[in-house]
Amino acid sequence: MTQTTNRLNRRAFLAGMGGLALGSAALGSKYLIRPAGAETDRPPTRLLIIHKPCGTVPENYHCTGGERDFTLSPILEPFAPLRPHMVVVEGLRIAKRERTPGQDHGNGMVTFMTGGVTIKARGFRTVTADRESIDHILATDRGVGGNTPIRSLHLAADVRSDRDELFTRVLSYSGRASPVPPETRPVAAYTRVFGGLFSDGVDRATLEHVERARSRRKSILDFSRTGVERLYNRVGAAERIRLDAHVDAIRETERLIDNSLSCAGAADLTQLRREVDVEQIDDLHGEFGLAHLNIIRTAFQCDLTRIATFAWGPGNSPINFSRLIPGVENMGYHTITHSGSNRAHDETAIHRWYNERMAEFLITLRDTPDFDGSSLLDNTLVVVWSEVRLGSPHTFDNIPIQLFGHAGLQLGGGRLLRFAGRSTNDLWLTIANALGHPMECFGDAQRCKGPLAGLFD
Amino acid sequence: MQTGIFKRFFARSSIRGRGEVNRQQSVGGVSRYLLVFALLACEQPPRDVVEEAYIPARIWLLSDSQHANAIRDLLGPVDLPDVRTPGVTGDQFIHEAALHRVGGPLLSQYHTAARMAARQAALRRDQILPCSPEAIGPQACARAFIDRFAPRAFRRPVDRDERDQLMALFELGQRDGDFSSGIELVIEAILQSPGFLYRTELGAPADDADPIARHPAGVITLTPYELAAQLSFLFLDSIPDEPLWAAASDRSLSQPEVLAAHVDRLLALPRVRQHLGTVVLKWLGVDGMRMAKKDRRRLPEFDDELRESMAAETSLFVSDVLWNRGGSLRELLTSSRTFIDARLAAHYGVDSVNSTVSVSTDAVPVELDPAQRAGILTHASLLTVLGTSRARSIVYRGLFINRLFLCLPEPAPPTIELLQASAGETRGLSHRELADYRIGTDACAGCHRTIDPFGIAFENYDVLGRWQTEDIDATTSIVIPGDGQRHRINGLRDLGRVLVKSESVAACVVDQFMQRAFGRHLGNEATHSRERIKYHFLATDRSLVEIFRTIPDMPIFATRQRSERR
Repeated sequence: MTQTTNRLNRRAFLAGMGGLALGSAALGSKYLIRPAGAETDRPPTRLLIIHKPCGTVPENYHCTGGERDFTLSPILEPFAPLRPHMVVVEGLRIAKRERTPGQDHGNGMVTFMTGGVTIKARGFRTVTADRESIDHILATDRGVGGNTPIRSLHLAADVRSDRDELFTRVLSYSGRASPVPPETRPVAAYTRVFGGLFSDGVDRATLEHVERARSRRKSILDFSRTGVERLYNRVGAAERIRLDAHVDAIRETERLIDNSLSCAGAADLTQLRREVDVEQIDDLHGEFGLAHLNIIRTAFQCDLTRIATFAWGPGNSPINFSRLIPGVENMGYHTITHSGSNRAHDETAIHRWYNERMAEFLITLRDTPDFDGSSLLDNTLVVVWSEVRLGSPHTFDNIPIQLFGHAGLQLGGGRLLRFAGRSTNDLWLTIANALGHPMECFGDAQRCKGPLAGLFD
Repeated sequence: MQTGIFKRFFARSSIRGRGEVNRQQSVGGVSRYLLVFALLACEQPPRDVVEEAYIPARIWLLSDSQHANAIRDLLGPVDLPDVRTPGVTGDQFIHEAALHRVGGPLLSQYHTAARMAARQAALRRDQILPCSPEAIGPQACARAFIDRFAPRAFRRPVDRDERDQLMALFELGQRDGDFSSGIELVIEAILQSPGFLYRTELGAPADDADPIARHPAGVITLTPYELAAQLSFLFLDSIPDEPLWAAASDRSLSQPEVLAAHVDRLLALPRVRQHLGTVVLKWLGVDGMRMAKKDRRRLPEFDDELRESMAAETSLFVSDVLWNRGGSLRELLTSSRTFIDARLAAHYGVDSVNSTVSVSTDAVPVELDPAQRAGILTHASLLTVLGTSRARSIVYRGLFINRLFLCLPEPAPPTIELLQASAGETRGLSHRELADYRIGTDACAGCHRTIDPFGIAFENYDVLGRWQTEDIDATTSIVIPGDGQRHRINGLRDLGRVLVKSESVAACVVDQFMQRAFGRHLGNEATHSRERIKYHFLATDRSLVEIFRTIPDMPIFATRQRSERR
């Protein structure tokens, strides 16, 4: 596509040595700090994949009208302020195959994210995926993921499920039978991404204190690294994959330590550092979700990562919305979708509720300046999707999908696109190519029909 | 090792006479099994019995509870952040060894926990130091601390390189502060290092050098230190206690009778008993009780007090079954002897039965009417967990029996076409009639004929586990897959009896606890060990405690397959 210039620039990124120097070169505005990992001329493109559970209510979801003059449906109505940045994608099917292991919600997640199938790997109780997911493919391509401290960030507002199955709580896979589950607690996510050295905040640190703490932390990490090496020589191939992940995490921490002063936006998120009572997880569902999304936003802004996934909850979500949305039946969300007494009404209300929160986030993203002053949303592609079309019975055709953000990728907003007979695999193929990742097919090559025409200009 | 279990088993049987009773009870279905097994056990020299395959040599990340317990066993009571491995929910029964890895999120959490623990420990260093830095000098005292602390944290001796690195860390910390700062940094480093975070099942490092000569069959034996850790994590959910550490240090733990004696010792410890009680509660899913949600308008009586009363009953009952009644599955599934307080007595409608109960805020032992309350399936806690927020569900209850006692996977829900096709016929049916429809209709019966009959047996109990009689029909006909025999039953008392007598159910229960002990699905890795544990389970009145007692005696406990290193 038209990404040649960007890709050349990406290769010319600046090494991340200058965390301190960059932090002190703040140029008066805390947002105008060029992040340590970014290119010289223009901001990189980021990808945010947002999963929203349990499909949709077709009669309240589908928009009427043509590509540009469509009328927003009740469920999509909360996105009205973002219409110029939104593409509604209809008609795509998740290419789930027959008789794969595990239940439908998890299968939809695995096939959407990986293009592959669920497997029962030897020695595993849990169903997993047979290959890596799209976020991992893109994050490990330096041309797309860059050399950011965090290769990719995976957060979720809730992972409780009324089934004890890991694969309903996971979006990302680093390879066959290698799930990368999300962090769920904002406080833990904040500490990992922005905590760096300073468990009590970045602003109070003096340079000398920082240097000493940095040296201690690095010595600890060195000790851990030799510990991993010691084990590495003694274990088999499967264990080495897991130890590689441990080494990656050590490297990530080292890179974060080097960058920890360059993310001034993190100071705005310090309220996230309070622990929340797990009993409140339902009542604070929206706050949890927005907290995570704002961590991702700030991590993007500071170029700590360029690829992120966020899940509101598993398809088997037990979130009880009755206190969040007056009138919704007093039972878990997943239960409502199967046996609620007022399903269409309640599910519509829940989808609208989710979309209101996401619209709030996307507006913040739009209003957040990137380091060159442009809008962060302009340089981000946000993909919102669901693992099934209907909460019950589960179907995989015509999955509800919305894309947001445009200028960086020439995604012309304000459009409704219908792709009959195509799969979500081809959507990822199109997106990967647009992001500059070369790919012939995503998923089953025999069913691949090439990129979706007209999605990007 | 193989002889040990049989000596102990027969000794126990003859003392209790329980083995006799059981063999008589199980004459029908089990006799042939026993005969084959007896031949196997008697004629074959136990040492020659090898598994078709063993679990591969591996590392296994500590579970979140093991991580916290280990830190507290090393440092005493410290406040710790709630470390949660991504992907894990708090009530999980099995901690999967192959699954969990230290990614960025977890490393960050480990760091926070290590820092917090080290800071607190350094504040009261006199309690953790084996020496006084003023008396013998800071260097010597730091070295003495490292020599004592690091091996216990790593569950193995540390080598010179590790000690030198830790001393260097001590000096770095001391340079920035004082002696305590040095100790703090050492503790912080140890608590987030792989030696602490991973359990190893790799055998002795020396064996790596010459694997073929020492292990022609491609198997390795765990070191005494690894054995001690296996035992301690299984029973204490933490690092080895003093006696285990001593038995690892003098290598005596590799002797089967020493290991067996430690198992018996551990099983008598209150801490172990409490832990295994929790394990059984997690298996039953009653742990989820505290999160169970009900429609407050329809079920206002389900308040926190009732929730606690329900949870207390099951917790006390499980503990009593495990430790005062031999751990028998029969007791667990059929006993009417339980523990209730006044609130639960009123809930069960038995507050007039016992004058002590009717006023007691603490649960007291009672014998309830076995027609209504027999075994854990009839506990309000379990029945509450198995309901939706306002109604009882034949399907959920049936699926629970399928999963927990029949080891059947949960099938996919029906397709839209099927639901649409049957919509006309099912309109207006009661939920019991719906179940009969699903059982009797070809398109549904493929799955529901093994789900719904078990759920129907629960019909006498409402969504909060109250007994109800009006218009209730809990009669049903069940077949336990594998056993083949059809049983006409009426209610949970009958269901409990059928489950207890089934060999397939016994095999399923044993499998689940073995999967828990080894943190993985067991395919052909442990067929022989599984058979022996099943045999022992059947011969000990299906004792859950005996599963735990027997596991360390099995060949797969101490043996691992060498793994490919491509």
